Amino acid sequence: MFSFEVLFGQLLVGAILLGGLYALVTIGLALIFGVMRILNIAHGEFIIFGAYATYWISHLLRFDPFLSIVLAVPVSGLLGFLVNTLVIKGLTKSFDAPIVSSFGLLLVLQASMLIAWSGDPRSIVTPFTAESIRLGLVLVPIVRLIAFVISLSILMLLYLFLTRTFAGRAVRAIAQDSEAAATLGIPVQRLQTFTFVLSTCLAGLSGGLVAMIVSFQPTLGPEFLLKSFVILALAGVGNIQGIMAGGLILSIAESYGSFFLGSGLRNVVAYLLLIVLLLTRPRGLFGEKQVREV
Amino acid sequence: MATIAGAALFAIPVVAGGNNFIIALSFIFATYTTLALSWNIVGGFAGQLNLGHAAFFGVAAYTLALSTNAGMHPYVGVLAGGIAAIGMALLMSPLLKLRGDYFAIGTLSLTEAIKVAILNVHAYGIRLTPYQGLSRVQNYYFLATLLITVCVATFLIERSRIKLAFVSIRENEALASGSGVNLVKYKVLALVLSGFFTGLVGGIYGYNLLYVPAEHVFSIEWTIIPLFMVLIGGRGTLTGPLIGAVIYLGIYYVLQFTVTEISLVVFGLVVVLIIKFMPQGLIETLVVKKLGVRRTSIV
Repeated sequence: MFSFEVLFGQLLVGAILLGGLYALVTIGLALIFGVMRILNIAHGEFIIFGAYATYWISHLLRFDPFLSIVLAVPVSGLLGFLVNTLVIKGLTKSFDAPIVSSFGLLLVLQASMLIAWSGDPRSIVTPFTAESIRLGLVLVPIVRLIAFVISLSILMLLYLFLTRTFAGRAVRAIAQDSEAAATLGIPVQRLQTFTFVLSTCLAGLSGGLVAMIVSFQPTLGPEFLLKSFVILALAGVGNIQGIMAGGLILSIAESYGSFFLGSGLRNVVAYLLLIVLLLTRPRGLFGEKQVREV
Repeated sequence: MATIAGAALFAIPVVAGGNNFIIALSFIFATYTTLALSWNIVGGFAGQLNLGHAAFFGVAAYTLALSTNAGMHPYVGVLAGGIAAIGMALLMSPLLKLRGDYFAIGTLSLTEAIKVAILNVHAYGIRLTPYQGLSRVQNYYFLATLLITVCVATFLIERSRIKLAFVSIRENEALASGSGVNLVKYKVLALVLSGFFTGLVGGIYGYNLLYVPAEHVFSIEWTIIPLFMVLIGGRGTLTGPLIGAVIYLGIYYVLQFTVTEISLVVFGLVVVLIIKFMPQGLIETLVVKKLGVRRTSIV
């Protein structure tokens, strides 16, 4: 039995599952942008690096892919720490220095990965690949479901960390006003380093999950970056619920957009959505009203 | 000085004789330098971080390809490309009300959206048939004239009140607006000027290549490389982008010929280091600060 409703439902399920992962892909970029005021153009490369780290750990050590992700996260974090110490720390406050610098970083990371691991598309095969659960008339792919559940739990943990713990509140204080936070005795520099490392860990984690769903290659980074931009613009800076909703809206728009307009225009839908949003809701759909800076 | 440089620019094909490599290399140099100067109008003087520069370039190259294949003279097609780029600038202008990072994201996405949309229609690009009597040397002369025109335009902007308006917007929008600078007017003016010149470059580049694939003419390199050149050389001046272009292309080609395999990695590192240690640009840091050369400027 095959009907339009089933197809519609199938698209919706796929979109919801993907939306959770999109939110996880974005959260690293959002954290760095919120806390350090740095638009990290190399964010996509950290995601791809996480994918490769997971791939190689499971490939070379013959570990289970999900266990490999757990090991790949600290590896990504280490890369983030190095990058933060060598490149990001001590950049001037002007807003285009970090953008250009992280673009240089994008080149370094992307070209290094191309040289080291070639441009061949790879993917991670899990024990559940190509298996799905039947839910009524709709099929739910198991790997996507697992990725969705992991993404959602990590985002919830992060939310609890940022709202319920002292360190999390300090991070949010820096995001609001780093100078005022410094005068209150919050170690701004140290927490910024922490945020950067945390973001790259999250990027690595999302990369590992992405690699189980689609095939990846070193040049795919900018695509994830642009998706993150869209979600960030949807959400506005500094709220996790907004980013979750943004991920969902983007994936639903993409799924139905590519279904009705053809898959070639999938990304056009995302970009146009972003531009319209930027123009009409510059603080994001769920952004807080803020006093305009002078 | 300027006259000698201009004369040298035109003498290159004569000196090179039939050496196609030198003419091709000069063409590339002139292309990027002109792009850097035109990006500088928006990104350097007016301080709007435009990441959609490639959109002007690509739209113009496409217009040229379509109009030339429809039977128009190629250089008229280049002009049509420039006008199409003005249209693109006007289409992009609503984004100017966004600030800083958001303007950058918006322009970048707009460019990508156009690229993907065109790729959907013309997946393999458009081929052009060469026009009788227009060789690469003529194309080079056309581009060299354009380069000098943009230099003169920049020079005139530097000497006029327009620069004051642009720079005041860059330094502090609210104060500029409070002092009676019409923000919308001057931002759009900067974008249109920048777009027009970029469009002309895109047009002549497309004709010189005789092949216009969307993947290539809308590529982000047409945005990022001019941006680097301006930042390396120093923004909002005539000499900055010129020197930045020479340094950039120098480093790039030296790396290409020496460490070919890892040239992009090394290049990325150079960019990171320059921004880290000389955030004001190479020229500002070395010439102005170290040697104490005074720059006659109001900023």
